[in-house]
Amino acid sequence: MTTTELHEQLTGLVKSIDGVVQVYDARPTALAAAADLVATLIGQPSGEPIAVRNSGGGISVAVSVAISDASPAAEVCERILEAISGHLGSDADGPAVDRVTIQVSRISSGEDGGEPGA
Amino acid sequence: MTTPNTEAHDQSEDIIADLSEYLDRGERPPQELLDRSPAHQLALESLLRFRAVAGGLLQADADAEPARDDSWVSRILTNIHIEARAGRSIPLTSPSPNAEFSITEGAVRGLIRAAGDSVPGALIGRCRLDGDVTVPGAPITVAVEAGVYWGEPIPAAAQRIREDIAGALRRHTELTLAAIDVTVTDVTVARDGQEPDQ
Repeated sequence: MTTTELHEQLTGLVKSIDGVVQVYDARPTALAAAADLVATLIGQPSGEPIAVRNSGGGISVAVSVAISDASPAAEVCERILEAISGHLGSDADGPAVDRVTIQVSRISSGEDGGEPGA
Repeated sequence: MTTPNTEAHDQSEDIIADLSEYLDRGERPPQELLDRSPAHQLALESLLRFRAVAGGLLQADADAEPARDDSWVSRILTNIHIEARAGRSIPLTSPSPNAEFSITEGAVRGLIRAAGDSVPGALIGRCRLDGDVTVPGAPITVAVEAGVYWGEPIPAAAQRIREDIAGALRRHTELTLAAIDVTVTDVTVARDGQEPDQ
């Protein structure tokens, strides 16, 4: 599996988790901007928001999400961890999971769903 | 007053200006803009709540004679965009030594603002977390400034704001709350309220 495929899979996986409203770019801002610029120049799609790094010690995954107010933040983080660990662990030949970092960047109270200016 | 981080402040002002332009036209800001960062979405949520509550207040102010000081409007807008920034990382307990959970200070301030704004007649102004939020168990004092409608008993409104904020923080964070200080800084006339005798 390529790194791009893994990014896409993990992003889709996290977006599908109950309580996750949005997935933000977890890559350092400067790095993300540079990577997206290069991708644009060579005609490739911009990078997926979940940061994945494969070092000698295993895979590190960083996720930044917005969650709904319906579930406590820690509970949603546990769901994300479980899903990521399960997904990466399902590949017996793949590298081990070294670290998973999950940051809640926004808790949605639902006001953004309405019509603006109403 | 000095602004410690002028560049960040200016960027935040751009966020509010960008979002306000769309809202003024009755349009929803494009998803691409909102997806750019949590700060945009946090600012939008706060702005929508603010406009919903302040719409009536602004009309009442406009109808009132003589014209009143509307500095509270700009003060709240300033606070919304400053506080939408991520800020410090607040740890949450994770079930695995290989996992690290956290919530940003910006997300927590957004949570506090939403909880306070949900109290009828209340509009949260400045919001501050005093204490080292990055250290689990460190005592934290939440300090908020709020505006309330004229005629609302201020102690009761402050208590309701305090309770709702405490409930939201208990639900989503593991902060050790030493106190929640509510300072009522503005009393405004509700849409159908009576003008105070002066």
